[in-house]
Amino acid sequence: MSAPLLACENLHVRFTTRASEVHAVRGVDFEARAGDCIGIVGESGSGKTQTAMALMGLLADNAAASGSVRFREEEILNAPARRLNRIRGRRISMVFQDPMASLTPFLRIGEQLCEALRQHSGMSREKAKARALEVLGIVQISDPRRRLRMYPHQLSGGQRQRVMIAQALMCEPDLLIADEPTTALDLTIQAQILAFFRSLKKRVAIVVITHDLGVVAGLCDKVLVMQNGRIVERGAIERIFRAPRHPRTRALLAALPRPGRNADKLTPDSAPEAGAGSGPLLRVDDLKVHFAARARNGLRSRTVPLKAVDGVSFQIAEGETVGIVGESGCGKSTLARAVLRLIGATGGRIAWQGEELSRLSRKAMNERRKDLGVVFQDPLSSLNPRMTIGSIIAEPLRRFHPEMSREDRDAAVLNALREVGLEREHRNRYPHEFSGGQCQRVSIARAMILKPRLLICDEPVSSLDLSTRKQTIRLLHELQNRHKVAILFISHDLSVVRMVCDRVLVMHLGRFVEMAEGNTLFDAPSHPYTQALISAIPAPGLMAQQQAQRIILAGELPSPINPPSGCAFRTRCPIATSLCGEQAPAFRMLENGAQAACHYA
Amino acid sequence: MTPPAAPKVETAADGGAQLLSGRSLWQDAMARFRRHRAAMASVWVLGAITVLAILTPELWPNSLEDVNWDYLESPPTTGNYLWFGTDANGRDMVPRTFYGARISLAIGVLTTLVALIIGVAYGAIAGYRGGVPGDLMMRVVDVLYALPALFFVIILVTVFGNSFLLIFLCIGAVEWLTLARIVRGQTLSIKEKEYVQSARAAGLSTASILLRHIIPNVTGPVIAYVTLLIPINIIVESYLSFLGLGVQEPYTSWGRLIAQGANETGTAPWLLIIPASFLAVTLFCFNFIGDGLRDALDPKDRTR
Amino acid sequence: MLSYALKRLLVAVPTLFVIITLSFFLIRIAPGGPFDLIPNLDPAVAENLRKAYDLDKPLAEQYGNYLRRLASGDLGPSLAYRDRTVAELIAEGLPVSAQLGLTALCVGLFGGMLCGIVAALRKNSAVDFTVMAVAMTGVAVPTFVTAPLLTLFFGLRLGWLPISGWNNGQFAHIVLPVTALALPAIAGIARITRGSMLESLNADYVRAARAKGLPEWKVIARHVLRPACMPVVSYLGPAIAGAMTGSVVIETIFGLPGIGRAFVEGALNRDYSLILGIVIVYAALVILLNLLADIIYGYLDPRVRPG
Repeated sequence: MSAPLLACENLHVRFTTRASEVHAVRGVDFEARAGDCIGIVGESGSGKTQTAMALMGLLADNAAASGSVRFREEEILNAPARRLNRIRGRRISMVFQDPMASLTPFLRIGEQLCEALRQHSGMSREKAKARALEVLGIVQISDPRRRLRMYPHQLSGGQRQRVMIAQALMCEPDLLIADEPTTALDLTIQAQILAFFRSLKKRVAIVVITHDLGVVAGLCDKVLVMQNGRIVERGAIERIFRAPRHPRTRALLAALPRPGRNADKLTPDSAPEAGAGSGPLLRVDDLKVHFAARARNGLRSRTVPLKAVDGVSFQIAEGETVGIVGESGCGKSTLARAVLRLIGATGGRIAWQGEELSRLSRKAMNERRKDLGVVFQDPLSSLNPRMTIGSIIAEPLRRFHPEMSREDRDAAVLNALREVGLEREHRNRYPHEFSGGQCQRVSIARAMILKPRLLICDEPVSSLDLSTRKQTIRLLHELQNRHKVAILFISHDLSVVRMVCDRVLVMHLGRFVEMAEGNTLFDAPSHPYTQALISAIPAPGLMAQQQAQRIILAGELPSPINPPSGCAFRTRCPIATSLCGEQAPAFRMLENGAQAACHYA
Repeated sequence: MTPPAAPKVETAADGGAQLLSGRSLWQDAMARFRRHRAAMASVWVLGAITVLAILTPELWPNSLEDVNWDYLESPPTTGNYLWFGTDANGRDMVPRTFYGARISLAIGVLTTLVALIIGVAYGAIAGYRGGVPGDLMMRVVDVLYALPALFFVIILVTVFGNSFLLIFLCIGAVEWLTLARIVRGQTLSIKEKEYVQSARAAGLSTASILLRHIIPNVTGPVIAYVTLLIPINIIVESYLSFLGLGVQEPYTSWGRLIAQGANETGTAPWLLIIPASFLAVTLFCFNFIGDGLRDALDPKDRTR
Repeated sequence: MLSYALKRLLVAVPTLFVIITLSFFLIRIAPGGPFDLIPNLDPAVAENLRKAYDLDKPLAEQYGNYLRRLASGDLGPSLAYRDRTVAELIAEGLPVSAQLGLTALCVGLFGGMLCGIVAALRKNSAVDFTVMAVAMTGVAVPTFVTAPLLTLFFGLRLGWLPISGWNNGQFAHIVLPVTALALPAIAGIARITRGSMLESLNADYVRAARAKGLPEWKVIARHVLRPACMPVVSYLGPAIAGAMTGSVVIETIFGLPGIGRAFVEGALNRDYSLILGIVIVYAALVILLNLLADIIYGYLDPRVRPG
């Protein structure tokens, strides 16, 4: 057996801050050989990123590393920069988490791609450029010649990540370290990038660092699970998924969505009495929200409508849970804000218990808000940093029940805190003292304190850790069962939506492309976009050959300013024909009871 | 991607009560401010100067106007309590320096108050109103920005005369521009914060949103800027007095004293050095306090 | 870029117009006139003077006349120096002020950035503390304190440099005024450069550049310096205004025949047309230099580049 490429022994990383010392990495051992693909998995704070930084000699100034890291038998831990620079960028290269922040914003893509190569090989500008074009071809970026002259902000998220990878591949390294390479990306783009990493395995050894076991499934051969700076479990990927030993591994696995089965579905205690005699709670007809955007045409710029929401209709019955799913930029959050009249609608009707909201005066509308709760995405910015948790939760009570006595209000707040699983002592604290999951519980408590009839949740769990996500969703589910509130649940993550929703609407570029009962949608998706979204959910148990059968969408979401003619999805659709370019498909009822907007559904 | 602070230990229920007792952002900020040694020292020094400015001209054995015939343009001496020396007219510099302090500090604080009121009101309205009226309001600010403030003050003072009241009204009327910009920028960003959206979704009135959610959150940067605006305004007044356009005899201010001293640097350097040192120390103090407040109120490592 | 500059220039015209109008009416509503300061003036003579200088007409008519003359480049006669025109006075003083101000700005820019960069790269060292202490002094101590002190020390005590006069901008004569004027700029720019250097040294893309195996000096030259310059460029606007304000005092202290001193004299003499003329020149300069700063900013940061 040949010597390992990279051998890491008893690696420790300590940070000294003014107040204390943090022992972030506590004795990590592993080795990577040519042809390996290793996944390092752990929750945030487990020390996985700092391990990678130590390998590359990129630790912050207040960090000290000890132990040993050898690359091809040469000790590189704490090596002087001069020696390190012969290896990093050339033999070992790195792909960072956030490509927007990790690409220098004011240098052209071409300059950034070429600089490492020219540094290490002394290649001429022309030769380096030719190599850059070649590598951009490898990472499958369209129109590479033009990209070389562009700046990072002119690329989309997926393209930026491809540029990051291209940059790492420029010098044909032996080892590629990728730190959360897909976390900042949409699911369909994540699927593209992961498929690309699989194709890279033949060229280079890879270490993938991630919090999501789903990402390593079907990509890595070996997995290391980290917790509190230590490796708590290691093994072949099949074994880890089949028979996890350490509780942490089991927790990480449990946090994963499981497609193809109904294990995650939280069933309501009693079926919602759909429209018991009365009409729907909320009825949205042909809702449109257009913004004015500036488009440039040569020297002249003109205002064109950006159709964020372009004619959507749906209804929600009393006690029902409806999910809206789509990639970022599809207009789902705009839709939520328009329903709440936080932004004005351009056209269409919103009827609340038969009464049209858009016609109401502002004052009358404010009265109706008693029955409409809302939970937003970002837990910390949802809470006023200058107010205590208690007064944040009590605010709606003050607004709608000013007659309430102080004692009654306090009792209501304590009750609300208990319902969302927080302690009574928490009410005098401030938002910054809480974790993201706790903040989101406070948001939920505030939204539920008036016992609304409809709760609108806009990406309520997207910024939370995987394990916290499931707990928060369970909480929502419990509250719904207890108070019989209807929920409009908006998310980009199908696996989250499937846990709670009775009915799911799939949104693409301001329109619905499919609507179906939860089970129907997941078991037999009709629209090719839904099929691709479901197939993009990273999942354990799906091994390499199954991964190969996934539907990988080409390209990215088209610009809503200038959407494609006919069916807006056709540019990425695997089954599009010329008909799709000529005629927009109608939203129609299918045999299985679902509705979809596709000529071929 | 920053190096981790102490890892947050989450219990299974994500609700562990391992946190310290509840402290508001204000309390946190004050605790951080108290750790800023230069700023704390500045608070004490400034306090001392203020007390001296209030008491000395009243209690000192020599008054502002008394002429000491035996000590014309005398360097600092212990005789006759002339610790800071005398000017060409034999007047004791101790009460004059602290009387100057009184005027300079008063003008610094009052002008800033004027600027604060105009700037916060203007900026908050422009920011919260937004749209075309808001933009128009800010274009006015842009136009006024094209004029160096001192020139505008000089015009105003020439036109309206240079009484004490008019001077601080004039300076205040010019120095609110930056404050208006800061407040508007803050208001614009806070308006989009999800907690304001939540408040709107909870049916709160515009007035309560402004009072409960927006204004408490713009105060941080405003306070920090205000402590930096006070020394700027002291300097502006000093410029005016230095050029002979500021306060007139028998009143005096540090700027006036320095102007008089600057004419006699060759023969009586103490006339320049003493008031200049007091002015410099005061300006230092305000700058340190401003830095300390900025660090305390807007710590970057706070973004979690 | 060119169209952006042209568009900004077009916006500058109304800005300047508003400033002219504002200043004109502010000055004219003042009680008392320019001839009140002449002792023992016969009322009839005063009336004739007012007539000669067009001050007896209604305000609106005066304003119209002023604008008409301004359009042909005529800033009118000076009211205090009665045989000179404002344009002549400005043409005399502007080269002096421009040389003084621009030299000081350049010194401030390069000196300040150099100090800031060195302080940031040697963070928490003795060099850093010294630079920052000096910078704090420069920010806190106004020019009219430093200028007499510099005069006292280098001019009177050491006798190395002349303490006043312009002498056609001879080097020895501009050293002290330029130093006094540049000090606050050096201080402000050093502080800003240091702060932005430290911030950009921590950026993710700097770490990514290190991961490429570039030597440290290349990382700094290519990935750190440019973003570190950007706050400095946006500080140029205030620095320009500061230099202009400072030049008024500096010219007075050192007895330099620039337009700053002319402005102060104009204000003391109530020479309305001179004040107005200088305000117009200064406002035009500020607008122009700020436009230049914006263009540099757009060059440095492609994200704000229009189009």
